[in-house]
Amino acid sequence: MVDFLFYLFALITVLGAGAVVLSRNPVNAAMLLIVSFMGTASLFVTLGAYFLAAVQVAVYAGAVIVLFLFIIMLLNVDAAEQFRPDYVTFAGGLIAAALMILGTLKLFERGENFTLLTLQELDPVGVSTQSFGMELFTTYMLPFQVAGILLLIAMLGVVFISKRDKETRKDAA
Amino acid sequence: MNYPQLFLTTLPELIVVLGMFVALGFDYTKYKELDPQTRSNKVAALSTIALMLGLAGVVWQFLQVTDGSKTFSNSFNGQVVLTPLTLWFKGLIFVLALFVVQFAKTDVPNKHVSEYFGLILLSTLGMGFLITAQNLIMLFVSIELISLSLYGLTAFQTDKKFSVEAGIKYFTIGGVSSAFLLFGLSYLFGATNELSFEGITAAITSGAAPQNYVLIASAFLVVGLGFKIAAAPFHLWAPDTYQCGPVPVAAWVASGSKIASFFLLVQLFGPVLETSEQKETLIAGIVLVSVLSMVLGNIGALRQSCVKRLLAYSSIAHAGYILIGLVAANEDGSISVLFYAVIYSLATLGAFATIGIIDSRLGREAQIDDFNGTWKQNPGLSILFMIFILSLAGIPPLSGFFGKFYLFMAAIGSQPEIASWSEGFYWLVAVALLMSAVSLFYYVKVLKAFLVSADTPKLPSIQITKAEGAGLLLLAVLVVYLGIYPTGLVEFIAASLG
Amino acid sequence: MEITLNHYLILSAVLFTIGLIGALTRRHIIIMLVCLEIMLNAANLNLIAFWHFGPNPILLHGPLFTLFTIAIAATEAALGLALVLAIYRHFKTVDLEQVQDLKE
Repeated sequence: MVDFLFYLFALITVLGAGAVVLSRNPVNAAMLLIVSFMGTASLFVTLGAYFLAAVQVAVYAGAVIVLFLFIIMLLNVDAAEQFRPDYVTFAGGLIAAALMILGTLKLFERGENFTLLTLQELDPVGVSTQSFGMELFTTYMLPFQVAGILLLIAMLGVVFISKRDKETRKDAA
Repeated sequence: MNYPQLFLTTLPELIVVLGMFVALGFDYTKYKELDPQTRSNKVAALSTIALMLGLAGVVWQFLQVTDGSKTFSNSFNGQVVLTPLTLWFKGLIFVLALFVVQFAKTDVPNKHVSEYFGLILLSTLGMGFLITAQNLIMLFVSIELISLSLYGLTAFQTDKKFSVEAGIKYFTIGGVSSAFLLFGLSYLFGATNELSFEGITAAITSGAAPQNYVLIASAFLVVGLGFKIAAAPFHLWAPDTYQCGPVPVAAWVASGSKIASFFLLVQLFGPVLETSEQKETLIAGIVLVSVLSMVLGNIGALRQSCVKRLLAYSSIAHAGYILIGLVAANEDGSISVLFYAVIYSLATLGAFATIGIIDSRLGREAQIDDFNGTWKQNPGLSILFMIFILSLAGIPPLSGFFGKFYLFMAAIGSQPEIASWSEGFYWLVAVALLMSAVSLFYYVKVLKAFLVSADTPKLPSIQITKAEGAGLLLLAVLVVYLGIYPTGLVEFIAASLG
Repeated sequence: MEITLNHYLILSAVLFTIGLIGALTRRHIIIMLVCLEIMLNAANLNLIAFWHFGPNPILLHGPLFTLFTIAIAATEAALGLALVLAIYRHFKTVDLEQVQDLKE
């Protein structure tokens, strides 16, 4: 059963991502990204990371994609912009892809320090949201605070970058 | 948890964040009606005070740690480590930030004054955290702290097309590099099952980590960090960012973020390169990046007429030189990398600051022939600029020469048994020497422009502010001092690394 | 066939590659940003998989790292979209190919 689910979710994730890359319209791309992320969230569930699956859906589908859609709507760019890949970069991309896949195949030799060979259920106490919070606010308190500063930077940056000054508005008019 | 300890560990950062909020608050309320230049002076003064207090905090921590105090050991459960070495480099970052603030205040790009200085302060924090970070999570968060604030700063002149364009290029390329870095970190985590540097190093040196995972991780990390240090072929963002962002920001990207990134490179790759079975492959990869950077950087710099762009290409070349110290894969190599990172950033900060002053008085980007006859009009500024440029070129007795000397000696000394030109790193050092000779062409081109007397000098006599003058003078003194007396710093780094 | 760590690793490598190809070839800035998100997501999948199959999942290393990367990816997207707004204001397009006024 788990096998089947893995392949199903993997297929959803990969097809979603592939469709994003090939989509012409940014709105479609953003919506397809949700599909891909739903697939990943389900994969997180198969791996026992229930909390993160919820976070993934909430943050990405709930916040990030809304932001993307908001900007797309705000700009109201002509949707029919063409997909015309520059062949040099496309070749570069394909070479990178080939290298990636070769590299991953090399990984098939398994490392010895992986005790779980197949998927199994993890101890629910150990991976509970409570222990998650405990870790976050004890061991990882400093990065947590620094992530707060990061949000501050994003806020400062977004405010002055996207704000229209009076002078520029006059020019535009 | 021991709260006083946590408080003392992050004391410098807390002061700086507090100072930033004070500056923001005053700027939004009390200074609101003032004109931008006055606001800029006031906000810069507040930022300077915050940075100085922060620096005092770092110095206090440094003294405590060198006295053998255990106050800071294992605070935040090993998220950060405060050793003499990391604290010294953190202090250096704060000092460089002080210089940047002084250079930035005379020419604030637009009326968002407090955001400008706020982002400079926050990127300083990020660099400090990156240097002290001992955990992959902390590492990634601080790298993003640096990157995001620098993206914002590069695109700061939102009313100028080029600034925004440079910002989006920096952002897209930097975003891809972050993804590479994260992917590499995930493999590093997978290979060792540890997040702390200590655990990762132990797992790699003991051989418990699967070698192929470590190799993949390192390959991704080289790509990801290669972007951050602007090494070829990952350098495409650098010329545009340096040319079109505000000049103090370019100086900051070229100095502070370079030091922090090289410190991280040494910390991450030191153990991998010394013990990993895949050492050969990895070193071959880094050698390739190094040679490409030296060649593309120096050749690219030859045909530039815009001085900032020329310095951008020269910084790519310098990334290549520094990587030579990394491939030596021993302690001498690490010492020489850290030493060169320090002196390179001092000299490049000075050079960019001088160009920033000239740019702001010209009201446009300085081309090389704009400097014609500057010697007569502004002898002081010319001498300082010459010191920085000659140090970058590696002319003795300036510090750049000793930096390169240590790098090359470390590379040659790493394989003492090999004495033929075809093996070892002799050929790499030969390439580096050849490329240094090439670099002389364009450095001399800039200097010649300064010295030749034009009939009509394009630059008027330049009045520099006290803060700028003091900053430049201090930087030049440091560059000269480290050239005459490099052993002090080298021995300190060696003692703290060992 | 049993599902092993390698299945997840290959999946995430494929995902990363798709994102990379998109980020390198697409010229539409917003779609590029979306592709960046895919790349970061691939790394998240890696982290979770390594955590699950690793020797001590009780330590929660992987999920904690992933939580931070999700937050960071969100801030990056926010800043990127603000830059897109600024670009659009100047160039009246979000096609990177036409945002090439800087001379070599």
